[in-house]
Amino acid sequence: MISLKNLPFKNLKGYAGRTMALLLFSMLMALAVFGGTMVISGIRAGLSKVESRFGADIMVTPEDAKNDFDAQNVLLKAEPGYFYMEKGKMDEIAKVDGIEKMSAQLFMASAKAGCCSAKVQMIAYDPATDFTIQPWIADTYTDGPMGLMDVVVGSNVTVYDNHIIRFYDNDCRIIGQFAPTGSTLDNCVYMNYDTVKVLIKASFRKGLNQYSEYDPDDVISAVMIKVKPGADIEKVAGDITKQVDGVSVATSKNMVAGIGDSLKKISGSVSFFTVTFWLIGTLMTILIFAMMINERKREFASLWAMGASRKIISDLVIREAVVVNLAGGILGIALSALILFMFKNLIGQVLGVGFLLPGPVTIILLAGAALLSVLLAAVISAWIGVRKISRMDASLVLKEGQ
Amino acid sequence: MKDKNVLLSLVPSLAGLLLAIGVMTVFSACGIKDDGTFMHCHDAQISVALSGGCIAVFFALAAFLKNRIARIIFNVAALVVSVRAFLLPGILMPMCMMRTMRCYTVMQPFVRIMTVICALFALWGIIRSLKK
Repeated sequence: MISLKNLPFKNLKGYAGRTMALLLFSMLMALAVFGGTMVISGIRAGLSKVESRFGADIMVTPEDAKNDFDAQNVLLKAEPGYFYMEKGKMDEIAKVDGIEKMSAQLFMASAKAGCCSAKVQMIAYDPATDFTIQPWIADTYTDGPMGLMDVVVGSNVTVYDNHIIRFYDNDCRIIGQFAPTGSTLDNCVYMNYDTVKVLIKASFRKGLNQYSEYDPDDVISAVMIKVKPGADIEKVAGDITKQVDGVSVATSKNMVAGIGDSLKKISGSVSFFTVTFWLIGTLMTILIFAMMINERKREFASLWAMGASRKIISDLVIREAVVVNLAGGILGIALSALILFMFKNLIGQVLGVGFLLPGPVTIILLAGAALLSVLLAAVISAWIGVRKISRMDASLVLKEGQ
Repeated sequence: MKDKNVLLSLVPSLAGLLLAIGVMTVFSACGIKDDGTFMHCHDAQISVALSGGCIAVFFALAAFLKNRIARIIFNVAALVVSVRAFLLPGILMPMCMMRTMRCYTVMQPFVRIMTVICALFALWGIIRSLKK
């Protein structure tokens, strides 16, 4: 039986081709709006996570490490590398005013062999002075300090069932894994000084370390610095450059600037495509509805002649538009979410920025907003159609073709 | 069976074939190491390709056989192989060291999406056969 309640569904089923076209456009609109806003939020989430994880205000590296260390890109696409400077540089840096805390780190990279031809960046810290790594280790490992050959790995490092990772024929025990940051920090393996020294010596023995003339006890790779509250980071960085020879100084602002610039560029492009897709989708929906109203004007006139008010007919058109766009919107959001969740790492790599999926609340809000934008397109299209119906003269329409 | 119905029944088989071909071509695992040997993920890739082939054959047999019990058996077999193929990369078989590598970023998501589709087709086939 046909009733006003099920008439929109019967119409949608009866005009399958038109319904499919409407579904496709509303799906594309939702896919573009949800996907686009998720990508922008994902890059923002990555940026804020990296800022909070980095922990230091200033990072000092050897001046001759410029080829291996690009401050602007190190958090986005750094290749695993290592470089050293004399340990004495720490004392020289300590004399600069405005420093609250400082801690040295020692870098090493695994050889591209033995496992899966992936080089891994190793970062060793001094447990006595470290303030950048240990606070995060506490989130993943709480059983006291790290022992010899214990490591904590970034989220991109695969942890096999035996919890062992092998470097230069030495087995290291994985005791924890960090949450993702969407940056190169996810590709690192963290350990204490004693462990890295064992690995550096093993790399010397295998002839796989270009700095074999150094004694691992006398060198450091970088100094992480936290300035005193109220101190000007740029001034302290400038003073270090002036007072300490042979070092290169990068501030955290410089280091996340690369991500910030990428965020601006990508946000601009993604926003443009999102708005364009939404406008095209809305225009196509309007066009399809205009054609549909024209095609069905005798049907509407008949309903009118049978006593249906203009409001009832308008409601019918609006319900048809809302139902089909709601279904298309849900499908588009589901498809977009599937692609984003499954290929998140690939998307981050293709975009060339840190990409982290936002939290569940943000995802739900973005999905709701995308669905609303598709429903808005439905309401606009239906409203234009309804205006056309309200201007129709039912008696003239019914007389047409007689 | 009408031609249209036969073609429709072969769609699940096509999904299995797509899984097998995709995993060996566009959505393949990591390349060969510098020393000429294969990476860990290579074995998972081959196993998934074989599973895709099996799924395609099981669905094709289920599409052409008229015996209801045989159709259910082949659909159940396709379901089991799909679930196993879903678990192959990274769970049942080891993959490479870094999650930034191709086996994790390209092959694993493709395998997971395709095997879920195959499993849904198998469930649909079982339900359809049980109803008839």
